[in-house]
Amino acid sequence: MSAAPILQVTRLAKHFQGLRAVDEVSFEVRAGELVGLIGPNGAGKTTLFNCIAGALAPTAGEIVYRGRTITGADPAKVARMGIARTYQNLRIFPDVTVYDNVSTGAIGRFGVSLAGAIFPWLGRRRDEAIAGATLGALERFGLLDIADEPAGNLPYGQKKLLEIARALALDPKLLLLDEPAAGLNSNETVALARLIRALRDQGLTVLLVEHDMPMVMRVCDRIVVLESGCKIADADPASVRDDPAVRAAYLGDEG
Amino acid sequence: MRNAPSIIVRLGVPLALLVVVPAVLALLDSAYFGRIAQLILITVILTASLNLLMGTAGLLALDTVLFYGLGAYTAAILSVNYGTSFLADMAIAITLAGLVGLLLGFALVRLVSIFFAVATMALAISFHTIALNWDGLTRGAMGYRGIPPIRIAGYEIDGWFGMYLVTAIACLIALFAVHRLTHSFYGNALRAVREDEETARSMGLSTRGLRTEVYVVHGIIIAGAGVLYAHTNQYVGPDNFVLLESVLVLTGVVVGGIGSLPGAVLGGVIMVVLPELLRDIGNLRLLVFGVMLFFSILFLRRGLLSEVWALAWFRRAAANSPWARRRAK
Repeated sequence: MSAAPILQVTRLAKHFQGLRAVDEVSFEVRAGELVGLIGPNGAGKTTLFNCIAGALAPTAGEIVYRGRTITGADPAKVARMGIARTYQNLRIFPDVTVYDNVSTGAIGRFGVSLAGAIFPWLGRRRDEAIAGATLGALERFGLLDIADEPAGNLPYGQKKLLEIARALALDPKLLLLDEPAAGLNSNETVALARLIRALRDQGLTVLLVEHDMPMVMRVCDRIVVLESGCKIADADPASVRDDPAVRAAYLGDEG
Repeated sequence: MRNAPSIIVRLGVPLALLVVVPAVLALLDSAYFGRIAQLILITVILTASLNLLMGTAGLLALDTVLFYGLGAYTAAILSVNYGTSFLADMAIAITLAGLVGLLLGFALVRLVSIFFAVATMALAISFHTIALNWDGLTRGAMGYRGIPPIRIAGYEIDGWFGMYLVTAIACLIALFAVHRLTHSFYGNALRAVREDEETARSMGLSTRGLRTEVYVVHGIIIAGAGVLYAHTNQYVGPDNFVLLESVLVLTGVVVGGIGSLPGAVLGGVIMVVLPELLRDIGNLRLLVFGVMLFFSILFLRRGLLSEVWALAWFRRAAANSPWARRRAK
């Protein structure tokens, strides 16, 4: 509990023409923690994600990442600062190869330059760093053997893994996962849970939006619960499970 | 021959342009074929460069003639009025194109898809209007006649053979630059921006910066082709730079395969050779172009040499591929 917060969200609000998608939400994520973000559909989880990642500018509030304010910052800059994300509805680049997909994250991390591209000897060191990071991420996710396949040809489960691999090629400090288990079968979900836990054990901080409750309860160190844009709970999995407000808002209507 | 692609890329293309084709041209000893060879290479520079912008970066641009004309008119005006040499024209034209590209690119990259296309179309039309009406600078409809032949370091290269060699060297430089930008991690970044801009940004890529850069580079290369055109054609007039010329270059890219550099080269060759073969039917050739584009889109959506094929082929030639890395391990 003594670890420094890597992410502090303070009274964050995002309104869409009167709809309070996120309403004065405050929470923090400490370095090395695996925090779950749950809530019924429309609770504002993805909107919150988009605000943190810079894809949406919040209406009010503040986001501080490693001591620096990133409220409303350019998403590319946020990514280069070490916040990588995946998408709820899978956004890989289907027409390019698995390798090229994953390399995008490494390119964001190390950068590319015109001169370095045209004159290979100028860009060699960067190219090697990008290739190394890409191969590392491919290897870790067992995607090396299909590196030259067009990404669109992969089965759904591997596409999901590909998206996480691409995010990790950025070498993030904080990983935002938006429903990584959606659409996976139970075996794949178990493997994914193990993988996320392994990432956390290697020191990565993870913020996880997920609908698969058993998985969230099993892997997360702490869970933040949103309902209609407001935070209604923020505790360890056991306490959240027993929280009457959470039961009423969320677990109740799951049956 | 597992490294055949690498050998073809590194040795085959320069060898073909600097040894094989010149040998054939020398045997034919015909000014006509010499000129056709020059025009093919100049057109290949145009299609390769447009393919970088339109195919790899996904920006459908119709302002090819703007930069082409900018280069050609710069060379014409400077060399006729001030007696500048070929290399001086080249240096000034590409600097100018770089500045114009930067200025226009800054505004244009804020536009996407069809809006970008329409804005660049307006630029192409404006350029023709300016070239036609700014008599003091461009000599209006008359254009510039008597542009001196290529002169490098005091040597006058006025024969078709020498001009071919200069054009071939310029074409190789342009192809090398486009090849590197297409088949390196820079190309990967451009394709990511093309496929999904928002996701590319969330991967840390400055999408506007990349687009501006590639727009400027494409403009510079095309302006260089314009300088070559002015000095080898020795005449530059406004009718060389109408919107239709942009569309013809674009046709070459589409027929060859959008995003595919070998496709763009092939498309460029076709765009020069086909009208020559169809010379007898005069303006009907435009009808043939139209039909070609139509069927190319209907039956060969990815072009004669598709991007997927080209990228896989070059991956085998490249050092940064997993294929090469795995072999190295």
